[in-house]
Amino acid sequence: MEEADDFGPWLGRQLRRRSMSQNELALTLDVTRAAVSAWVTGRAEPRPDKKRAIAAALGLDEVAVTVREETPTQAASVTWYHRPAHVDGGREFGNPAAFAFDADLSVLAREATQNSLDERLDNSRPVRMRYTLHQITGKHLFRFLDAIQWSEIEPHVQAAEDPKRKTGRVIADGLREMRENSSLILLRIDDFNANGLTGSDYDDGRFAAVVRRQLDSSKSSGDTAGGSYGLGKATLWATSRLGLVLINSTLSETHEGRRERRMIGRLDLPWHVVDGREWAGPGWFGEPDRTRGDAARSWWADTETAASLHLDRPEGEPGTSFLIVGAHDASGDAQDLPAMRDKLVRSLADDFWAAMTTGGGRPPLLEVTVVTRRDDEEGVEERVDPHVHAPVRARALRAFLNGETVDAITGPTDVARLSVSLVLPARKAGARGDAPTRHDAVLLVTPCADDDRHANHITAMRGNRMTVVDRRIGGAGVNTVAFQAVLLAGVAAGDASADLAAERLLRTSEPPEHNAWRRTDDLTASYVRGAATRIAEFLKAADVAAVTAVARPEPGGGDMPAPLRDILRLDAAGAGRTTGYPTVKDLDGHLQEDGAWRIRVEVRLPERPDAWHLVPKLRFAVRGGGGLPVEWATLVARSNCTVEGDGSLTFTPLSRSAVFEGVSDPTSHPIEAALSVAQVDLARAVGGAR
Amino acid sequence: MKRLVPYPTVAGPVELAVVRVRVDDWTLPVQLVNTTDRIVALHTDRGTDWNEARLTVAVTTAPGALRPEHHGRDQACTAVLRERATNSVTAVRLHPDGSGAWTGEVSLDHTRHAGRVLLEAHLTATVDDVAGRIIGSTEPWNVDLEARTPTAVRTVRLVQVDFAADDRPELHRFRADPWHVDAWGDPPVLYLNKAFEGLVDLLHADASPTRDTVAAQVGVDVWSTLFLAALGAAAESGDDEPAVPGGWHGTVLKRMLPDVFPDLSPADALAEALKRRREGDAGFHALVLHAAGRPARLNPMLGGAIRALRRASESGR
Repeated sequence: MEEADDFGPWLGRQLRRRSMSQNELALTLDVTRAAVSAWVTGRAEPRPDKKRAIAAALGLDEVAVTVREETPTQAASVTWYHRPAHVDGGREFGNPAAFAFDADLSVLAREATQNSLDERLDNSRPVRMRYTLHQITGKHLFRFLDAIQWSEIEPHVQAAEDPKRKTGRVIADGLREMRENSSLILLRIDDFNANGLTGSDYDDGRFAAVVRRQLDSSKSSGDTAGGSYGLGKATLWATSRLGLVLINSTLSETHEGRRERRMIGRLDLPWHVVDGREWAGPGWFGEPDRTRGDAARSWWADTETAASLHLDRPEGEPGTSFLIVGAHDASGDAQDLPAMRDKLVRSLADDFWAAMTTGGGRPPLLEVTVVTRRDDEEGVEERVDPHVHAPVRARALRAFLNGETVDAITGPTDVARLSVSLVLPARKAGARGDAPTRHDAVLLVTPCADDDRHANHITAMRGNRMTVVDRRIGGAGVNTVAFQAVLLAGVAAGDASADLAAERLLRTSEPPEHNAWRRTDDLTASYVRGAATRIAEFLKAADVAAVTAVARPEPGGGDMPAPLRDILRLDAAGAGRTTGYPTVKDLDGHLQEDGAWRIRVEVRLPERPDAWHLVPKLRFAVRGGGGLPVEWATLVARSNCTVEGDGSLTFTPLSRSAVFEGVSDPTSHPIEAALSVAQVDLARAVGGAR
Repeated sequence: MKRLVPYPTVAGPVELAVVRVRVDDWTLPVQLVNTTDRIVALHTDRGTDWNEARLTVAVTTAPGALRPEHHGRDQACTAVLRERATNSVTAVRLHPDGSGAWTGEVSLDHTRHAGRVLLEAHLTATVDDVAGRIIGSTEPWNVDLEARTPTAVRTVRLVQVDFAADDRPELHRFRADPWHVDAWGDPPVLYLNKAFEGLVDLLHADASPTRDTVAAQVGVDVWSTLFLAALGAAAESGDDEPAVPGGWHGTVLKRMLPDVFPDLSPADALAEALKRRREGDAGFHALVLHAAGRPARLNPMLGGAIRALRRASESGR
């Protein structure tokens, strides 16, 4: 159930809806403006007689005021607001932050999941996320378009079509797809056990960070999280061909006295002209705010509205749902629903397998499911399981969490735990004498199959266990066992003060994509010279430690003189040289009823102008010898050869392959054919048949 | 070599994995087990003074490769250790582990083995009422008692020693020689005479025309000796159609025969070589020296040395 609304926020909202100022209400009720202000801000609550008067002034019945029973904002009062173009004539042709990212599904999954992970509410439980790919067609599509008041934005979207510009082209494609196929893909991203979009509509806070701001990396969760809802949120809009994302958030703390179904939509278009009027591009879907020139602000929706916008959420579970309208994979790799699903699952597994891994009796940091649906079919919800998608690394991490690591690897599933030091550079500001100077990161190394996609890779992460670095270690593989390594740095390694300091250092060294630890402007500004070098040394040390853990001993004879080394190699292959003689390429055959072998032989021939002249020799193989000779009863040429009277074959000059067939002579069988192993060789024909 | 059997065999590969190796009371590090090239190296820092190596193995087939209608009866899997040099064979029955694999422990007795031991496994079943038919075999592993590292690279062993030393009576008759090739053992050994003044130092020195010329000369001696020894091993089979032998003998023959007789198959080339050797063909030795030049890298080494000498003499003039 919705909790009771506090009187103050309720009154403020009623005034705002009626475009009535606090002053006007004060005049009507014959009280001071300060008294109204005290009611609205919740510092005081009016006496019952004043409440009745307020009800009269607002045109409501008494009961409504007393219990503050209020139907949520009527869907009818929700509308689109488009930002007018700048008066100075400036034009923006896209969201600058969106251009900083490759807008493909894997980047979206990474950014969205990272935000949810950083917004985890109850740290004893995982953040739960669900990605739903939902294709709607026909009446389902039209019903949805009605709900988002498509007719109101269609002229804007259409005006923004522009084959000459990147964003304009994407929009044109999106519109054509929707019209021609009467089909639209919605990608819904839910998180639960997360903070939700709290805070004011306009001032600093999570809501404004997502809905109002650009290029503002708000660092909301203290020292150990990355900037959630920073630049990465632009990938939400970039994934929509129409630049349209709708949001429903369940808040972890009340705003205006409420938590459930805080909704807003945002349309991110380039500059465009509709009916001769210029528009800046962005638009918002919400309740008109009379105090801000009817700009749309978030509204508290009823459950029907949320459902009609495909954004219904269970009550009482804080978190946010984003609905990306007209979702696509900008890289073009994934064109249909199954391909998009596969790409999402793969990138979620690659980037968050560690956050999803359980061990040591503790739940994972994150649980993710992916669903695909069409129209009103339910769809199958599939959990992204790290033990399926990243089995070797998940095994390594689980062994660490369970305390099951070993010092030396002696079996194919053993996980070695090593330590890699990071020298912590001093911070420029607030440097303290007792600041830790060294962090010991945990390096896990475990064998894997040679053909594993991630063989000889090192994956590095810090506290939120999102993959920051995943790369092949150069130089590994020459004389090492195939392996995978996991580097747990910062808070992922422990929670001592050195771990926290390392976490902060490494986060500072991450670019906006959070995909490397290197020199950044932030790092240079916050730490003394040499910080980037310390980090580079740390990564190099991890590479060396991983390779050393699985390196084979050098071959003996270290005092072999250099010029003899190659000369004395016995099996330096003469392989790779093409053979200069005919060989049997394929044998196919079976036993006939009469106990004879019938065999088809395909021969590969080195091309030469002189005819090859050879004898096909049939033998029954014996262990450790050349085999027992068997006679042919018949030999028949099939292609590129002729059978001579003496049982030899003459091959057509310049041909490269030939086929003949033979049947063995059972009277020549040294043993019963049913107990034999047959082989055919080609021997030089010397002066007629043997 | 492609072969036909008159009954259905397992479709797809049969794989043998060495899961763990215990040497007496300790476990071999995984680095000494090369699953790609299928080699186990048993010469560790702990020395050669051990009694028994126990290899835990698992044999698997591709899913669905075993056809119950053909292979349903008396399925069994046997691991076999086999060493050519000692002619010892050890067979161990493996057991189904319930998940489609056969597992078991193969014990390798140190006293019964000397060098490279082959480990392979065979799947058998009663097929067409014939019991014990091999329906699939694995590629062999090499369990190498002398290898310090499990790499596929095999090399002639190099021993640098004073040929006149008291503990080397077998080398005394070559005491005046700069080097000596012993192609009897496995692997073959190249001895460098430390007492031959300047030789060892020269070979260890930086590149020089003299050093490279000497190295190439050593190489030709080594490879022609190895070839003749390998030919001898092939002749010993006594067969009138000799097969290419295994081990380093086969490696050397396969590598050099195409240069001795370019347009003959290895079998024909081997027969031809044995015939020429038997007949004492005077031209045959020249063919062998010709073929030894390639692995000895005679042409590039000697060519480089001559060019370097010419440059040196021209600039000195």
